[in-house]
Amino acid sequence: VIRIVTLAEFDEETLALVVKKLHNAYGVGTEVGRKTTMPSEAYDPAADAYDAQKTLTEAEDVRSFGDDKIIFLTDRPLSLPIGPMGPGPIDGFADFGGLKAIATTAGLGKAGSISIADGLAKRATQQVGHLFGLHHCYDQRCSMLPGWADGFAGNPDVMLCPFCREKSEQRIMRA
Amino acid sequence: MEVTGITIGGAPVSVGDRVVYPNGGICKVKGIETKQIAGAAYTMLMLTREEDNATVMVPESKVGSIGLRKVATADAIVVLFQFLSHSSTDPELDWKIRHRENFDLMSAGGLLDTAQVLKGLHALAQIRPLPQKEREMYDSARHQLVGEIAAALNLPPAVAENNIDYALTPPPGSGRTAPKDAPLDMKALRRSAVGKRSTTLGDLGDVEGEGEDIGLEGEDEEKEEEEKEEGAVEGGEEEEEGAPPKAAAKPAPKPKAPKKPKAEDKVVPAPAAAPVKAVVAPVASPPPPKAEEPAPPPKVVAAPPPPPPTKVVEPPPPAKGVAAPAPKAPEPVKAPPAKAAPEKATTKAAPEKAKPAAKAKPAPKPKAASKPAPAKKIKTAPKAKPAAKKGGRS
Repeated sequence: VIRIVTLAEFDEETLALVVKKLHNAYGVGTEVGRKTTMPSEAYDPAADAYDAQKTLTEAEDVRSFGDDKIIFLTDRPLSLPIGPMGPGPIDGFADFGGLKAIATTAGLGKAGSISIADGLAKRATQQVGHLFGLHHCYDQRCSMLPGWADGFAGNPDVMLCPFCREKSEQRIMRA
Repeated sequence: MEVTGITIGGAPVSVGDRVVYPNGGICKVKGIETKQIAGAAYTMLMLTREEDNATVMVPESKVGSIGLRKVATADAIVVLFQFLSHSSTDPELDWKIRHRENFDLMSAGGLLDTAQVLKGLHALAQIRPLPQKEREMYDSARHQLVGEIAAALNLPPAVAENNIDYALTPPPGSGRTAPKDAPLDMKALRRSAVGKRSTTLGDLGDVEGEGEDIGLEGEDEEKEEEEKEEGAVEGGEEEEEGAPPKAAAKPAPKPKAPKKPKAEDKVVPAPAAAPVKAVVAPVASPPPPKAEEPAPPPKVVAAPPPPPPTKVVEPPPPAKGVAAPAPKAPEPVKAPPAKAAPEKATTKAAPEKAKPAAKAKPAPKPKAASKPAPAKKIKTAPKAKPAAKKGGRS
């Protein structure tokens, strides 16, 4: 089961859209868990953002079953360790192949870009995909496309390309 | 604890070391065990794949040959990103060549080899969707790189993957959206990568394959040649306009004309940039000889007139039997042309082989096709029947 946990205020329509899109993408039961708050320990004043890794470890665990995939939703900016390519846009973070992920709406809703609800649904879908072992994809319509690529905002529909869909199905079957 | 007797790239392997198994991923060394297999005792290096805790046993004698290597150093990763973020990759469009090269690179399992596969397929994917097999290879290459970068820099895999995509698909504000950089010198990159990780990776450079270096250089040369040919053609056209007499004097040698300016062109840009182009320059120097070489080869091709001997086999003229003898002729021809020189000497043998043809001659008199093809033509016969039936139907 994919369990959605909100770390900020989201209207019902947005959550309903995210639930629907996640279910359509992976064919797995999806439900909204409950609302909690961002763990204060995860706040990084230097970056004026929340450390995504710490947030996952510090946030309250609300799973019902051992293999529940939990996706946290927030509206706060996130930070991650800086790699060789320097700082870049951060849509969320997932414990690759693990159980917890987080997606943020930070940076969404700009004029001429994808709406907040659609953007959050796509970002959540991508982070859950990482939980299922999916890597980024080059297909402009696939939800696994990196969030800063042109096709991400250009295709608001949440869908997986045939390869990613098949791979996710295999992983889910194996689980 | 140090594992006795086993080294990777000249460096001893210790229990707990992390190594990269080509096409397998990051593994941790568990130790050494002796296994009895088919009555023989083998010393096995025991590995545990970190991804799924699978146990991998590598015979001691195979450790070097399968491309097992230690995880890349941080410096090597920097070189890797330098390669990934370079925008000069032109995808190989011939799928046979591409698949063979990518397969070889993935089998070699080097860091830059895997990156080269990923980058090449990513560039191709921007042009058209990848076939299933190549899509899988793309995903596999990405998976290997993500795992190794994460292991080398102690980063979460998601961050490693983000960085790969920062390099392959620069974010809008990154300022790295230049259409095309200067050609990349893979050999220099490999040298620097190998040098930087030599302390921990030893002879990884050997594993990555010198042959691949050659292939890469070849590609670069070809690309450069193509680009310069285009430029040269344009220049040639200008020359033709400006100097019509030369063009008139050398109408056919036009292709040769562009090759000469290539060398000049290559010499000119070389001094412009310091390290990279300096390496490119030596690559540029060989082409001129190539331009001279191509001239003799045609002569050589003309010299070994193996084709004439084929004409000698012209006994197909007895082709009164029509199509049937003609196809048979080429088969025996292939063997003799090698010894074609002793033409008249072979003529003795020729008649022997021609005898069947001679037999074919009388055959056509009654009803051509039936005799030359004893059993095989029986198969063709039924084909003719349906044709006749079709004709009847029509």
